[in-house]
Amino acid sequence: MAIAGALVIPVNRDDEKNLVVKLNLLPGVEVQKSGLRGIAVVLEAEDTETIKDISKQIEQWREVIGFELAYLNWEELSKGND
Amino acid sequence: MNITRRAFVKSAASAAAISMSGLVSGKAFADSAIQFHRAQCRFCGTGCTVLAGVKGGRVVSVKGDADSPINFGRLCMKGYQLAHIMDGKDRLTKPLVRQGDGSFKTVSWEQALDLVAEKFAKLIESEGPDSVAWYGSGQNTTQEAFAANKLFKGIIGTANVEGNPRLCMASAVGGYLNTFGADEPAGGYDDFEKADCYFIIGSNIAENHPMLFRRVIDRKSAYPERIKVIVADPRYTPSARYADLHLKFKPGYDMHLLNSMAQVIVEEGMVDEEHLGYCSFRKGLKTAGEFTDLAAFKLFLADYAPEKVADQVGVPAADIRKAARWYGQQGRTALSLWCMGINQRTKGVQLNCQIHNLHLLTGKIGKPGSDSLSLTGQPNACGGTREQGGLTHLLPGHRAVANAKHRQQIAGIWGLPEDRLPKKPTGPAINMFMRLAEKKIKAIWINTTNPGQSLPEVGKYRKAMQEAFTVVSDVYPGRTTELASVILPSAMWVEKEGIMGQTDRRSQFISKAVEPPADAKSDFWQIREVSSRIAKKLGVKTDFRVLDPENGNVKTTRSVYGLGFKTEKEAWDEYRLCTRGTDVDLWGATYEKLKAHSGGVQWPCPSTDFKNRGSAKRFISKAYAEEHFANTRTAYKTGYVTLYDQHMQDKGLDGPVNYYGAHPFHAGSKGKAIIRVMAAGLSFEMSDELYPYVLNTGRVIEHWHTGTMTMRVRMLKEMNPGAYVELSPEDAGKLKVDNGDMLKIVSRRGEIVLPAWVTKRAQPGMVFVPWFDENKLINLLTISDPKSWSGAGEPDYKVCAVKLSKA
Ligand code: SF4
Repeated sequence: MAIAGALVIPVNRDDEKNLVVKLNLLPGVEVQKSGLRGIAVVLEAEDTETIKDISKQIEQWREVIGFELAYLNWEELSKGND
Repeated sequence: MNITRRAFVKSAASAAAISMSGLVSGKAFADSAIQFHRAQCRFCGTGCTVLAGVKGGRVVSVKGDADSPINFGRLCMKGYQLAHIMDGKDRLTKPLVRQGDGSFKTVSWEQALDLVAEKFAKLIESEGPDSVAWYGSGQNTTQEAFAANKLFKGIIGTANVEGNPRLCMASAVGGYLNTFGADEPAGGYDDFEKADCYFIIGSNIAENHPMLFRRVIDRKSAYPERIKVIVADPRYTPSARYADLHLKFKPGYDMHLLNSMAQVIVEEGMVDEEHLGYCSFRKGLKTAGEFTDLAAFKLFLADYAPEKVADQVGVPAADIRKAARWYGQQGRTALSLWCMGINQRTKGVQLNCQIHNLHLLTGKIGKPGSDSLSLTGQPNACGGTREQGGLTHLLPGHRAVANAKHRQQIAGIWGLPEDRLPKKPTGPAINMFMRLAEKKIKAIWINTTNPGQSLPEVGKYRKAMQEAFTVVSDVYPGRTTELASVILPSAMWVEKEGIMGQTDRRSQFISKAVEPPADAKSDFWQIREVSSRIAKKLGVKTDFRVLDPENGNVKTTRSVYGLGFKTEKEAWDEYRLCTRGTDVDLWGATYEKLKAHSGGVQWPCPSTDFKNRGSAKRFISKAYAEEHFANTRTAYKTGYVTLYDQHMQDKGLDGPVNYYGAHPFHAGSKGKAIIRVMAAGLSFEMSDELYPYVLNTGRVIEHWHTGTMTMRVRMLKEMNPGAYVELSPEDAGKLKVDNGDMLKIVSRRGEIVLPAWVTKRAQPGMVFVPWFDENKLINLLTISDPKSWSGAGEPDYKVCAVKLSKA
């Protein structure tokens, strides 16, 4: 199990609303807040490899200039149902 | 329990992301299960401050340090993978010695160290000290680099001390010395938040210094109209994509572009007359050319008017004018940033000087938000090499091997007889490998670097390394260890303690957080052990003085075979003493301070006062700062830096602005900066009929240098698994090549076949290949000919002529 916190940085502030919608549609991604410097998200996946796939996908979106991890944890965590 | 833990980790992830978004600061989550240790990222020269989370003796979490004035809690994707670089399955964990049949045999440390010492000592005695050499790295800690310098220049007595920073930043050093008479920048990272115009040239900062680029994005997002980002680069990189203006010049024509911007600045009256009072004009580099003046410079520049050079440069005249105006308008600040695109060039020193010229002409230096800031490639190229003196011509504290007074000072501190130190330099890095190939150097110790992959025209030197007695200290097997006679397994990153110095005169502490695997040992330990063995064999004793860290007084002396200092802290204290009173004064950078302050200390820092973290600005007096700026200090979460030069104050140097450099290149300048008047020149090897394309090499965001570490991180490897060649859609059309087709690239020195990536990043006539892939050695094609070197001995990795064909 891997959990990451990240910041998605839009090329243009005008794209922000659309980006939030797109991000929330991605499995394992939860938008936390949208701030001055970007959109804060939490990513949850089976392993860091899947986190990589999701981040790569987001990074390649036309509206995105940067994807920055803020936190990454890959301890043994069971998924549970909370 | 696990569910709770998972919820907790999610909250921590959320808080970290929110705090980076600039909203409410994320609630600090105290994670009692994990113990965090402060360190510095060991990748790029940004030097982000990192917290490595340890649980059960392993690093299980990594986060940026929110207290850091460098990265404010953020890290890029490489930074987040730091823990995984230690976990590769093929870590070197035992010393290995090559056997007659070419295989490697595991030996004990005693055997390996004895063998290295014996071989080196025998050669030194029979063939002289210049028969052995050290090739270090901008990734050694400062203590390691200092220990190696003392061993080779002090105990052995050879100037055969070089390192890979020669290949990345020597031209930047040449530029600072020629212009200011003193190496390293006048300002620093604090200028990012005050800059109005970012002039980024020869740097893909978005990929190679991502966290500094974030500071650009933040500033631009806050003031989208006021802030202008100009990127000058032949490639349409992610940095260029973000820019307000991309100056996509033809490869090799940047000297023309910079002179053209200077022409607009002078012609349109954007010159700062007051600041010109602190400058002089001189023709060419160093001291051969005569001093001249602004009127003559203006006449000289007339040939570079944008309308005259636009076609040659490949940039519309209107864009050159726009760039010069955005940069040069009075009342606005400007920050220039550059890296290997400028330094790894035949005209590297001149290009550096031209960038400084623009700042000096417009007075955009020595003020908050304005600086001419050369970005460092590696995390300790500044600290361990430039400041510490890890090149053939240098001694610690910006001193010179050829200067008798400097030798006397360093021999005194090292506790060694003065006449053991070499009196003149031998040769820069490539020259050292040439002498290895000629068998003038017979044994070499390569430490924390991978020249078997990274040297230009590498095919020539791989054989030399294989035939010599080559000792390689590394963490993983690679293209250099395969050539070694002895492999010493090293500890890395938070498996050892050390100090590193970054781009903006900053030194930071790395705490040891975990044990290295099996028998791997720190490089500091390795150098210390080899030193005592060699010193004993040579009969050289060191009078090591144990110092009082507060006042530098000698507490006791011990006469020993070897370096004298036993710990990293003792080595640092001896090094601090070497810098005391120099422009790179780190006397105030005590262990206590470096450990306590996130983001470390910026020299000059003569004061040991705990809160004093050094000088954010150089060359300006306290009186000047008081007169011009609202504040003379910048407060950080802990401590402060001054907006004036504490070295000037300490030494009582005159003048409101004093470019005090006493370097011989600066002779006759009388404390003024020198605007260098230089005709534009081209690279050593431009494209021609036979080789009609230009090959450019560089790094990518996923990988660090030769990929030794990052190719072992699954996430990074899968993101970018192998080398490719970027080429433009126009050239792809001409060559009838599609994405993924194999393309043969041939230079005058070698050839390679790579998959094509057809992209607008490349401009017609130019291809780009990254150099992280050990299975695809692009450096077989690059140039090492001394005629291609910059004035500072740095080869041209950025422009070489190639031909292309579909494979
Ligand atoms: S920007 Fe450089 S120093 Fe910072 S985390 Fe990334 S690689 Fe490390």
